[in-house]
Amino acid sequence: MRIRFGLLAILLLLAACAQPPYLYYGTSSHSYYQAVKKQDEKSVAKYKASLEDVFQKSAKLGKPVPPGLYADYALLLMKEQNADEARVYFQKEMETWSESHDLMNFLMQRYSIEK
Amino acid sequence: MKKYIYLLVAVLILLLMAACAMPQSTYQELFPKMYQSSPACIMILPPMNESTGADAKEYFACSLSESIGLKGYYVLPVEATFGVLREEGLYDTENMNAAVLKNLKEHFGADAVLFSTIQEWDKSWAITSGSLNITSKFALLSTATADTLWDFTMKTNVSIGSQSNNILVAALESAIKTAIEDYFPNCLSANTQTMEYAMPYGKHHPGFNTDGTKPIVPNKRGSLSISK
Repeated sequence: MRIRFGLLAILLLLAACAQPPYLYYGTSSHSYYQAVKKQDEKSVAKYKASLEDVFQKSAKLGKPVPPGLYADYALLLMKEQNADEARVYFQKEMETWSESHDLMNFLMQRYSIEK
Repeated sequence: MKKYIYLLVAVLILLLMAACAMPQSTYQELFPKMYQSSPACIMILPPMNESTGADAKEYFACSLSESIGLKGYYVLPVEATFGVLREEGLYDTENMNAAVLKNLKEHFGADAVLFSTIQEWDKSWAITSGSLNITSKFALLSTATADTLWDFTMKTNVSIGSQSNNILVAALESAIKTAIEDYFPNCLSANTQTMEYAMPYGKHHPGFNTDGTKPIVPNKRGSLSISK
């Protein structure tokens, strides 16, 4: 009986240690590195897809999208001349992270897409 | 005979106690300003590269957001901030000063900036195995006062072995891996483990304000081993 309790305590301890990270980044950082490094269309498309994966998985897991990733997505949309959609993502960054207000407003003013 | 056994046990207990009594500090004792000012918004500055690794700077620039974000801080997006710093002629982190830091607070809301210096990025290989040694120094400075809130130096060893049983294949694989491998996952892992160990939790993390009394080495230096 004592041994069972001991094993249970060890298992609980291990479970506590193996807590999942509080944010989900997926492969977005690695894809960002490859897009910066290779600077080609394929790598940028892969990076964009990795961000979309983070948005979907984070929603599924009930976690906030990590800092900066909505803004990074907005910058990719700006490069595609998709200003309307970009504004939506700059605003999503602001809604998710109040600390981003100053920079997001600065970027929207810079791209002349503020409302 | 019994006497000697008791003596041996006593010596072993004393040795164990001596090992446990290694000097230790707590996070709050080591980084008091971090707990007093609780920075929420961090701006990562372009890493400074003192090593011979040409790719090291990009590896660091692209991985630090995740490593620090996971600790519960809002990290200003690197792609956007590096662009602004470049346009303003502030991309050389070496030229940062207190007046510029205040501007970063005023215009972008950054409570603190992260300085990172890659001191060592050395790859070496010997027949069937290779290794990568990374030594990096981090410092978080308040944008309001230019005070150092937190700093830590970590040495990481990444072992790069071949899976092959054939010695010739293993040797060739190790040499190629050491020379051209994409080390981003290793760099991300090294930085994430460094922050996991050394950086107190930020306000968005569920563990915020729970780590002040946790023990930490008092010399602000650590070492890590990672297997590729």
